[in-house]
Amino acid sequence: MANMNIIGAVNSALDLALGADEDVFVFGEDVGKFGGVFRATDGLQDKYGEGRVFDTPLSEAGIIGTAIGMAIYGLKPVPEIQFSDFIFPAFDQIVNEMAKFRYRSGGQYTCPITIRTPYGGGIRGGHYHSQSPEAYFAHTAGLKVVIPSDPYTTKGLLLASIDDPDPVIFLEPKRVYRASKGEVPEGHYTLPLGKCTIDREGTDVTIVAYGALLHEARKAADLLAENDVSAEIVDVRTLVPLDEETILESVRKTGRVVICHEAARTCGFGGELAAVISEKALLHLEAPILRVTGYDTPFPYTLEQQYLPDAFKIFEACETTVDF
Amino acid sequence: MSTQIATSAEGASMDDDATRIARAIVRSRAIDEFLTGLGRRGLVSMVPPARGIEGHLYGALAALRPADWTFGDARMGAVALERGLPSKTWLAQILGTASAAHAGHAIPSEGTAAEVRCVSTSSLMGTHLVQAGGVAHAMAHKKTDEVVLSWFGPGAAATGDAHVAFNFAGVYQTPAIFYFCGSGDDAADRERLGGTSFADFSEGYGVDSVVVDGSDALAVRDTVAAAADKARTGGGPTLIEGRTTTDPLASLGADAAQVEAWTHGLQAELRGLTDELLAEGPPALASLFDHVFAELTPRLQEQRAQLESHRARFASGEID
Repeated sequence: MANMNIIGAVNSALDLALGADEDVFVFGEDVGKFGGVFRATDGLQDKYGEGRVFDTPLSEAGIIGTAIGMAIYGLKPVPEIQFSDFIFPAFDQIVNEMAKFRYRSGGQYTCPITIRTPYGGGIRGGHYHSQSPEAYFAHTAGLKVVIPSDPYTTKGLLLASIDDPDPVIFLEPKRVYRASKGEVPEGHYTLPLGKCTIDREGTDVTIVAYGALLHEARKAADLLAENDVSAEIVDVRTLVPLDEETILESVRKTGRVVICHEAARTCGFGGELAAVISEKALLHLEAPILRVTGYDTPFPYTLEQQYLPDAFKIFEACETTVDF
Repeated sequence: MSTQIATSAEGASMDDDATRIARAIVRSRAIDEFLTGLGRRGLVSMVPPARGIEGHLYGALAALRPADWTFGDARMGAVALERGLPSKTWLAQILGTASAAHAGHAIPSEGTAAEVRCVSTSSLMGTHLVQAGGVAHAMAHKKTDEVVLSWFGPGAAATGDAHVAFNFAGVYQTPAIFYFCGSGDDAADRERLGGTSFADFSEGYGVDSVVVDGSDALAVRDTVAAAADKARTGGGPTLIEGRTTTDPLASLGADAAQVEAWTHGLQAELRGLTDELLAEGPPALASLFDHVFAELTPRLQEQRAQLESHRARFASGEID
């Protein structure tokens, strides 16, 4: 085991994947010589050469279109989009091409691509370095959407994504890139895609969260415990495929749910989770499902801490649902 | 980087390639006509004809090897037949019947023929050019002597993806051949592209370019052969501007009786296959959910079961 942060976990996973399979490629803007703007690919070009770890022109459509071509040829690209806010020039290639190649060709051409991209706010990045675009991709058939929350889940889920035969949007919570640290196995391991986990057991209310907000959910659970409320936390980890059963099992136990994400509320992934819970566990609910999310505004700069969900907002929502 | 004007060798006579290209052009026209007929019967939709650009397609194919890859647009599905795809396999995708390799998931102009290295066609304009660059990138990394050729028209040429594809190809010097098929209306093409020649684009990208007249399919063959030879030996990409002027069949020496005999034979084959395939019926209901992912997710399993249950209940078309 080694103590590392999320950046270290990304680097370790990529290092292992590149070392184990010569068909794995890492590329994107400044990922090679410079080692990535967050240093996630530091040292990999020196170790694996400019052919396997390379810099690209500044064109997200070019990066993803290139990845698609390499993938249908039989390679396993792991491109980086420097910030998820920059992913939209590649939206056409992702949504209309990468996501549909397997379906439209009847499995003759497939895209085992893992797109890594930092997402989320809290770094004083304004609206072009802070957004949470997971719902756009979760809405597109043919894409898997994975969001780790700490170094252990980052490494295990990233290696599983690279192994996966289908395209994965791998959203890294950059606010906790360095703040989240923990013990991580040094060797290869995977965590299953399509499995939520119970991050903390409780009996009174279920908090569903992912990414950086998992850490806020934990703080909220501590605050709730001080007020004699026992909160259970579900770490979603994989939005697509969604492990409904783990979420529903928790809801059946607690009867109360608070769903958290940084993305704007309207049509956010929380709406989907709330729909699933109401469709399949309605009679177990003791109170309305509540959401703690970003607001329906563009991501703000100066007031970003007001915009972002935090432990107190989650606490307040839990309090409301428990008192209902 | 340079732009050249290519012609076929002076005095080039009818040869095996000319016969093969002529037959492919005749087949392409028979298919255009056949698909129009299927359209009138309501059996297919959205298959634009290849009429006029056949010299670009089949002249180029005469220069490629089986291991090379091709990308095309919605007009170019019959290219797969010339590359060796069985007619029935091709037509099943057109009709979307039970044996269609893609289970009817795509419209008739979006066929796939991986077995002959024709990449699944997208209805989007220009996206394939960037992907072709990715395939070429992979070929170069693997040190193969394969090339990838992408045909495209004035629509795709105007997209941002075209710029991206040429820029990436220029940066990485990949074995990619980008083949622009003029629409046949030079004035209209110029209005869309601004410059005096599409090939002029190449200079800024660090990509060689050649202009060729698609009415001379053997010149197309020679031009693509030169670009492919260069690419196979590490010489990088080429942008070919294919101008569309007169009928490419005229220069290939096929006589009218031969053309009629080919046409008649091809149409008879396609009619027979159509009857066979229509008898198969549509793909199985459950196949609607196949190939979204390598494996069905729990949600897709649930949705498939819901659809099957619903259809079973309402199979009679009436509410019980």
